[in-house]
Amino acid sequence: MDPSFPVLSLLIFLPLGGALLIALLPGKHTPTHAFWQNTPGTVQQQARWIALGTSLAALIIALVMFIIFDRNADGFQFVDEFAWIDAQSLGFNIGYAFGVDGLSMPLVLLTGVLSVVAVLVSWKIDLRPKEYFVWLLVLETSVLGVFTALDLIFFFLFWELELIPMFLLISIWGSGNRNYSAMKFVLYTVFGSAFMLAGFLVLGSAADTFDIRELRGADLGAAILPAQAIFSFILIAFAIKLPVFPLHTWLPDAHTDAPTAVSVLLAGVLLKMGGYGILRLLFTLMPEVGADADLALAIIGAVSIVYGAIVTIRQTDLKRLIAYSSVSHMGFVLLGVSALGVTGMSGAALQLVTHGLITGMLFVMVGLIYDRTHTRQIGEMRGLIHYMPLLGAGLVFAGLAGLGLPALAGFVAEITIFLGAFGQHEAPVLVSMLGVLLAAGYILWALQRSIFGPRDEKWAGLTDSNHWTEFAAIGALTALIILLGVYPRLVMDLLEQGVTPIVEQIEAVAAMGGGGG
Amino acid sequence: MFWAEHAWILPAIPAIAFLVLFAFGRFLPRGGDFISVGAALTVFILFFFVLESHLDSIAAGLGGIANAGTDWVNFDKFIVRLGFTVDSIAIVMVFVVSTVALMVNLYSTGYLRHHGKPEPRYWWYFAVLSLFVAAMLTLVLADNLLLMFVAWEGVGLCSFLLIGFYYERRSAVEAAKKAFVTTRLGDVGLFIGLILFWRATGSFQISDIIAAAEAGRVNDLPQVMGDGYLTLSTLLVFLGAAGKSAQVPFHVWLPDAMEGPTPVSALIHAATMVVAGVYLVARMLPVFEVAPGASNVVLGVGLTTALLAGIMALGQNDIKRVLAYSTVSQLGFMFVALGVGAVGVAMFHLLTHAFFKACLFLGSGSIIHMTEEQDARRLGGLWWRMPVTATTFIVSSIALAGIPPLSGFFSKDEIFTATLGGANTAVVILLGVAAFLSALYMARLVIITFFGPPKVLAVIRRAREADPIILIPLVFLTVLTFLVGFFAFDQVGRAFGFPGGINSYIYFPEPETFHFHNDIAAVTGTVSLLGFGTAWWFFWGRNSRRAEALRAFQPRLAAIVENKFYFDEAYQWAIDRAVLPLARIVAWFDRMIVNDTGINAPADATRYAAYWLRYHVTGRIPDYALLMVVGVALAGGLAFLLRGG
Repeated sequence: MDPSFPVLSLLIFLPLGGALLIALLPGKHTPTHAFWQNTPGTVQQQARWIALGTSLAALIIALVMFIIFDRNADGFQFVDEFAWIDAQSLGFNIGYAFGVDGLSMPLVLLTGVLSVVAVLVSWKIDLRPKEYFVWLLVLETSVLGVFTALDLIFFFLFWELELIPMFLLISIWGSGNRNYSAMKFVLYTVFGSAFMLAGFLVLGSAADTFDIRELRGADLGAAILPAQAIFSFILIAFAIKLPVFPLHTWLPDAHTDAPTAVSVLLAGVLLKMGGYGILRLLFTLMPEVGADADLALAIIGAVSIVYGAIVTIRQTDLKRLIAYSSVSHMGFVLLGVSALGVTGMSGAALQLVTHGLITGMLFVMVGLIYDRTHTRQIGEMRGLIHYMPLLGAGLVFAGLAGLGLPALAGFVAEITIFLGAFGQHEAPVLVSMLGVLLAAGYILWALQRSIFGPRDEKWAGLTDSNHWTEFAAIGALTALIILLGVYPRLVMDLLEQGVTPIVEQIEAVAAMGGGGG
Repeated sequence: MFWAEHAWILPAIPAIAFLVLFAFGRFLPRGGDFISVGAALTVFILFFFVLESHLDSIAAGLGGIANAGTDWVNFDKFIVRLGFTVDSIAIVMVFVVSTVALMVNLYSTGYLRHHGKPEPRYWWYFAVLSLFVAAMLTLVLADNLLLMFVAWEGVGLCSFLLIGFYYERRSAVEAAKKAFVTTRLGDVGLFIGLILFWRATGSFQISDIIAAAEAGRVNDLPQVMGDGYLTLSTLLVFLGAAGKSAQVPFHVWLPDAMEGPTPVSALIHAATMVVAGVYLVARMLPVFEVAPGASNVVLGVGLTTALLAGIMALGQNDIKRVLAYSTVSQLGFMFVALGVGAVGVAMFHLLTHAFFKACLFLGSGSIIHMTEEQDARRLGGLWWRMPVTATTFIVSSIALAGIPPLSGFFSKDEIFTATLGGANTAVVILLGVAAFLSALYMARLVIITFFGPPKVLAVIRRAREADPIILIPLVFLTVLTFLVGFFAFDQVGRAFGFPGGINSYIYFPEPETFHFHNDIAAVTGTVSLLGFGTAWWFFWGRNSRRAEALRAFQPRLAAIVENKFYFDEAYQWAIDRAVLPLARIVAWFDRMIVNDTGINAPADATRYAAYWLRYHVTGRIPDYALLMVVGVALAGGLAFLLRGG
């Protein structure tokens, strides 16, 4: 491929283009009917096929990038950049700069996969389908932008852009207390973003650039705030997104009330923006502060793991249960990061990918079951597997992957994190093991009560999974979870390549005697 | 050496069978059961090729140990090999796994049918059975702890799926979950243990860990714990072994696991998976011997289990549950042997136990299949109606009780000999009591099941001999029960090409020959006969009148035995009264304190403040003027104060 071809920009803005195309579809409410007289049904047809085509095209681009990605080169690849605002005289310049490295490439691919899955599980949306798919695709663009931005301002831009589709998707297509949940999600994130923006501005003005590549290793002595304060400001935003205890309470509400596809994307990729940000920004730009904060991060991680697991036990709504288990699983990311070594940080990055797939699949299964039973209450679902063997088996599989069964993806991430973190922080790691044990308990208990048990006649008329879109979504996720579990090197090598410069920087700082500051 | 070096083919075959069955099983005729049976048969045949190449290597003086493999994960300091080892301990296990798996596969094709019609999910049963065999063989052949752990969890998963095979039954689902979570508790210990070993030695390879432990290199880095680190790591590994092998206090899952189909109980919960813990400790025994105190813990746990489970077996009336507690007790015997450092003896008892216990389970399955009854009190008089089942069952019971010349006698006798040499007299006496109990509960079970008058007419009417496909494995296993015991003798071992009897074979670098003492044999034989006699005295005839009298005499004691020392109740209490209430409190804290007070309260406060504050926007100029005056006055006053007037 021609190196100057802006493949990354194409990838990022392709979903936005698809969204625009859907928005321009002549719909039911167009004042002047076109000659083909679109009915609501055909609008739905066209919208979903365009959405599927766009997200598939984006996935293929991401896959091609993944394949031709140079696994031996340092730094960012597929870089697209030009000076966007060049106001050097005023002391700032903002560059349009995007690129991927070993850390972001797997996450970009994950976004591509889960976006396709999200479109597939939304196939039967009939409430305002046009707008629905528009916002879904805008969401994809914003997430891809976050994972590839090399400029703090663009990072922030896409970080904020994601809120708009999320707010609308939850509050229009959600269920339950959806307005409350959507508002809470937005306010919570914006609260964190305010701190993040403040941190970015201080950083940028101190170093005279917003470019992540140039900021790395830059002297922050001129900053108006101490590095610890900047670090904490930015950490607040990422901690909310990840989320960690005690900043997690938006998550169960947003998950429970969001439509299935949005839950999939929320758990699968949006939470990952927090973990990605910690690795990409905090530890890359301020390694010395990060290296000092390792014990605090390990403790917060361990507390999240155990606290999340304990709260999960008592949940009676299946979606809420999965949401709380995410709090527990995201604690592992912090634990891995706190190891400050290649093993632990790669494990943390791998956890982002595997948790995206596994929890994404859990939400897909619960969503598909909910479409049929119209309940997510564990107590009401008994005996479902007799009527829906495929959906039941899928839920069991995803659950087993979630509790860290070896040879499935989650186990590899967990053990890598444990191995990496154990040499640094024994006590938090040992406490976290409790989370592994509790995970077996809450997942199997939930499965036992929800889908197993004697036949229940009230489900007699329900059908098992029967649509190709459902087969495709379940099949793809199952295959990927097994593939990463059996052959983790597929992304592990890339992630290692991605975190190595971060670790080298931390070690360099440590060798200088913790200088900088 | 080809076959010993390519032993990975053995687990690969059932793994492929699993994939085929999983994908196409339900569309194949007979649910594809022939694929599973075929895979098991191939493994059984290939075992002899592996054995031959292994024995050749011993004969050639190469030591009989073959390693092969490739890197699976190779990442930073984290290296895991997909490596396989064939040595004498592995050979014994592969023999057990392949033989019992083949028998159980054959048996299942008859057992999972009613009046010629397969049960629902017949194909799924065989798919999981094949997966189990693949995982079990991987576990046995793995040369490093992490691959073993992966397989370890894999067999646990198959056990979970097969215990819960009848998932219409709430009790089966409950039992499956209990088995998984209880063993998981031990597995977390094993997991921490292997991380500790990895940290000290930088390797998961069992041979590296043993070498490091023997060289005294298993330490934490600042060396604050000294030998404590080694003991801690070793005991954590033992925690996993005890969980899998259902040792007290983790034994509670195994009797409940009897909810699964009976052939599964024979394969997984008697002959193969539950002995994985014994196998793991046997493999790592040099580490246990170096770690101060570790061997004594193994010995203590094994002895406690052998005794307690023997007593619990006495209070059970469900045939399968009696056998389950008996398995727990016999596993305790194996751990005692390991505790005194006798690997060969433990593996020998593992071998003999696998065959007679599998035979007993399959025999009980034959009874359950035909009579649809598994409460021994409602059976009785089956001897005449099911002669083949009864004969094989009784022969296996005698073997279990340890009466010569059946295999159980030899292996148990070896355990006594080893214990006499390696532990104090109290241990030997307590072990003797446990052996007495084994004879007692087996004789009791045999008497009330097969002898005496039939208790329930409908049950005895249904009792007929089962199909040949069910009887052939019974007979085959009974023959093995006769034969394998003689492998204790060096002459027999040499006749088959081994370097000697099983003891000198397994430990052949340091030959440890069979020590058969007439005195010990006489004593253990007498103890077993005494157990039989006691059972006969208490349970023979008249509805076990004497046993009932004994129970009426000590009702409280009887209740404790029948309730299995209240282990299950204690756990249930802990879950209901401690874990769930704690979870409820934390969940309440999460909602009420973190969310409603921490998050919603500031939000509400902001909203109320905004609600009231908007009233200052009145749109009337006099109000604004007033506010302006007040503001200027306040600012002026403040400035005045700050400047210190």
